[in-house]
Amino acid sequence: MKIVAVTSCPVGMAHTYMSAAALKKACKKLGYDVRVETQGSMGIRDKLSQEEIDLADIFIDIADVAMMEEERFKNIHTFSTSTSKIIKNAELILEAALDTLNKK
Amino acid sequence: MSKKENFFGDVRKHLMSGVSFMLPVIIIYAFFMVLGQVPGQVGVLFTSISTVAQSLIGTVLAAYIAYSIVGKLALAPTFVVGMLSEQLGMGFIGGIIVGLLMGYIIKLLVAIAGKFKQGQGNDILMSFIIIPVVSTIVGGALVYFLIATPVTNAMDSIYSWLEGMSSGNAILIASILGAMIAFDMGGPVNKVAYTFAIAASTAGLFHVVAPVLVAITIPVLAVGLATVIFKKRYTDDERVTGKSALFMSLFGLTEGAIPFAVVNPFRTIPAFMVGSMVGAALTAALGVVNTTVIPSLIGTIIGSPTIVNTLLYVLCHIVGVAVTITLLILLKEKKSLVVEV
Repeated sequence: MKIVAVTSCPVGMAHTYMSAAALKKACKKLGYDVRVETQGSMGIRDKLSQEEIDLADIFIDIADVAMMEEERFKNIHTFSTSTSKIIKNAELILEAALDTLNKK
Repeated sequence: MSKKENFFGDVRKHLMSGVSFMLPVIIIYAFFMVLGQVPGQVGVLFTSISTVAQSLIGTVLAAYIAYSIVGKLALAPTFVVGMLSEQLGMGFIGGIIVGLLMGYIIKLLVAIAGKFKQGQGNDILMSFIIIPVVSTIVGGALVYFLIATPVTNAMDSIYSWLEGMSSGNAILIASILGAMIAFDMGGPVNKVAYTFAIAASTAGLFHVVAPVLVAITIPVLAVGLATVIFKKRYTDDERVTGKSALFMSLFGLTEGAIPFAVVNPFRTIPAFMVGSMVGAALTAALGVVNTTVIPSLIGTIIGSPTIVNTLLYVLCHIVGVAVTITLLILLKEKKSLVVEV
């Protein structure tokens, strides 16, 4: 399972990076391949290339605010959530996300 | 997710995006207001910068709320109508209304434009002339003729109420704001309370600012100190997180307390809320006033010329932190001790 995600919170400092870390931890535990791009106050870090996005199975939209360069994700199955939800229980949200993929 | 499919989209996301872009403007406004205390021409320059930044707060908020709704097309018209509303004295609330209004007007115009033949000619006509001009006329007219007066009246009443507030009410407001700040530690509720304090400060009403700033620092500072003072009650991981919380408390980043709240909200959030409420209420009761809007140690160092009774301000932090630590430890489960074996 290849997962890509973008995190972005209003202040762009705390929740952005905390949710990225939480997601990575959960994916590691469940054995999923994940690449997370953060859009914080210092701009885009670990930017996702179009190739990475096209090869992924699902995109998890963890942006509390408007996302930069959103058009990249036009064609991939998307699951939207918030940084607080991921920080609280990344595994649960991850499973819910993958559920929507299976139900397609 | 159905939220994205309807015309209005995720309104909360649009508002938070606006706030996200607006925050640095507030930081600049606050820093330069303090720096303006420097004597001579330099001080005058800094104060002018602060005043200019202040007039941009509502405008930037509006522009980027609209940007979240429709993208780049939103910027020019909304900056213009936003500045108009600012000059009409509509301030903060004006910023939110204008942002949403312009965003949806432009979204509608884009949808209508989509019905015409696609092509470069039409695109240029639409995006450079028709949409900007039409949206500015419609938005500008609605703001000027319809929205400005009710909004400025409402804001005047809120500000006179704030100004004339009896000391009992001031303590009550401070407590409520304090609780909101600690409730989600940097989340939307926290932002509403902080934004309210900023808005009041731009109108010259500073008595809610100090309580809010105290409330911001208390949870994160308290939990960081708790992991140091009560080492044995916390796991190694928690102590590492506690160190980063201490660092974040220097900058007033309440978010540093979140990892602890996530693990067990019922044993932590009440402690945070009560501590912040007490700190905020005490600040209001003692009449401490802070004219900067920067919390925490950094803010205190920079702002100390403008804090009435710096010592009392610090005292309020100490009391709030002490209350929070006490509650945190009282409520804490013994789990951590077991893990260390």
